[in-house]
Amino acid sequence: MKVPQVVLFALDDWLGNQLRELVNEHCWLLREVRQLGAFAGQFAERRPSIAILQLDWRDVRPDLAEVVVRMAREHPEIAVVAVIDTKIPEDHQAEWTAALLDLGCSWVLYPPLTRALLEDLLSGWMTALTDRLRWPVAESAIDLASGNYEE
Amino acid sequence: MSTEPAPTEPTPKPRDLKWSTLFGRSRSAIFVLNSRRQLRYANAAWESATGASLAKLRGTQFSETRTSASPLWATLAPPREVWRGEAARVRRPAPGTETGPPWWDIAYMPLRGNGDLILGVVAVLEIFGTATPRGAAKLPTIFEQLRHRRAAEFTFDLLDGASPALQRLQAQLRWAAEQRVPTWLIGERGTGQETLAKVMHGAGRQRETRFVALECTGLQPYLLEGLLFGKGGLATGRSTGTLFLKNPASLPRDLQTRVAEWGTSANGPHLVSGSLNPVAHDVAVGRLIPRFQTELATLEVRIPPLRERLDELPRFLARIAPDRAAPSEAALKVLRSYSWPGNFHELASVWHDTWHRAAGSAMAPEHLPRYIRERFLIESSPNHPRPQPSLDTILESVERRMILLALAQCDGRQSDAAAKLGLVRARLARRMDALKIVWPPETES
Repeated sequence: MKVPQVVLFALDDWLGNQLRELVNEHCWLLREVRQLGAFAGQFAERRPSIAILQLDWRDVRPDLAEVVVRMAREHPEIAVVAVIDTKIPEDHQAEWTAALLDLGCSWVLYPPLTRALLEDLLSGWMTALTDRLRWPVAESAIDLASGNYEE
Repeated sequence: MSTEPAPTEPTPKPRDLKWSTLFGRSRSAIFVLNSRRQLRYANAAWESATGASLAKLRGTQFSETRTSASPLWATLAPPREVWRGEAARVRRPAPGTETGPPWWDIAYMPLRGNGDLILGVVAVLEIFGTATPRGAAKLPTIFEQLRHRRAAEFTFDLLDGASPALQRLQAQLRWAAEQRVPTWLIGERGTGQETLAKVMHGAGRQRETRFVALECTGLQPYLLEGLLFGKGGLATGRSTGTLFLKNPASLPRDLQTRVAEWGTSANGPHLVSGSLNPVAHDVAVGRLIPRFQTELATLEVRIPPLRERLDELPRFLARIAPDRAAPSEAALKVLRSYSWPGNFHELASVWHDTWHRAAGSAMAPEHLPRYIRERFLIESSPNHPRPQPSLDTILESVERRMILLALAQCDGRQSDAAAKLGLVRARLARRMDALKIVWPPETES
């Protein structure tokens, strides 16, 4: 299996800086993408991947929402995390979370974002994804002559 | 103070109980459409709920497509299956609101005539929730458009298949979706549990609400608890229609209890769980609280793995990438020889990789990964061992052989053969009956 990767589409450098230490520690790849058009192209190779998309809830780009749907359709094995950049009134948060998860996101994060929270989330997701992509070995006949069998 | 009873409305005699009288007195908002999809009747409760007047709207035709109709008609329009004679229930945002609340919950009952003829439709409307104040964090319109487009991809057509097992699976899931029956899906990794849960959501009465799928494995409990039950968590809203939990046995028990409480509450979501094991197994080994077995797994369904559905491979491949050329017959033969332990995830991955290697042409065997081609060569080799027999089969054949040898050495005397085998004679006779051993062996004439 190839090295896991985190692909980030963010409005500024803050998120990338928060993740860099974790990514280096686990020897994952961190790809920061500035053009949304290039985002989906980062997942052509089969490897455990987390896609992080930062969005401004006051002005959601239609192409960004379309990327979420496309990712869910074409790469269901990839975790898509939506990061909302500014606070949403609490009574609307549930509605936004449900709507984004329904579109195909795997997780939604709201401020305040801390490094510990981001690290826990990414580590957890990467464990789940690595497990998901590790398929069991195809069945074979039992070979009585093999192994360290002792009666 | 007067002791006389308050005047009450005269009870109508049975002959006065026309349908319009009954509907007119009902507090439920009711409307009736004729076979030409025109509004023929609506009661006072309907006029009050919708703010529309029957006198002005009688005879107005409901549009075929929801997008081209007025907001009121779009919300009230029966789904297509109603015109095919099936009762249906839908929940839609109130007219003028793109997402709700408030929600309009409408139950449709077709009036069937002779044959396939639909004489009309009776519908009952209920309203849930209060409107969101203006200026709040409103969801963008694009979300709703994309959601409708995405939902259209998840229908029961995905489960089309000629086998009785698939047809039964489809019928069970359809019933569970319509009745909001808590469902436990068992299947190997990659068999499409989430896809089926989404199909169920699309077929249920809450199809206009949200489908939420949550991975429970690997994530720290506080993260899941925050998303579900924290400030502004999913449980604080009412927009989650179906909650699909992947492997809920991975959740800590206190979180399982909270999920169970939410799933069984009146406003809770329709809970669908996916697991590798039957619910009874997870409860028995102590990984799952018993409430999941008693209340949240009313229907338990096993999803067949891909290796049991290899005849349907061309359909699956067309579904994964409809715009790509179909694989050649030779490639299909190779694909069918493989056991697909990773199921649909593995199939999609192979199909995706192969497409790049094939550079746009139809998939041929040489484009397939080496391990799949090798498996095909081994399977098709004349020296390939037969499938591993079960342990029972092996033991039975050994027992048969031992009994036959003992009988042959004792010239067919069963008492001596039994002594040689360390058995009593009666037991030897029972084993000979069970294994259908005849002595002396019958010779072919």
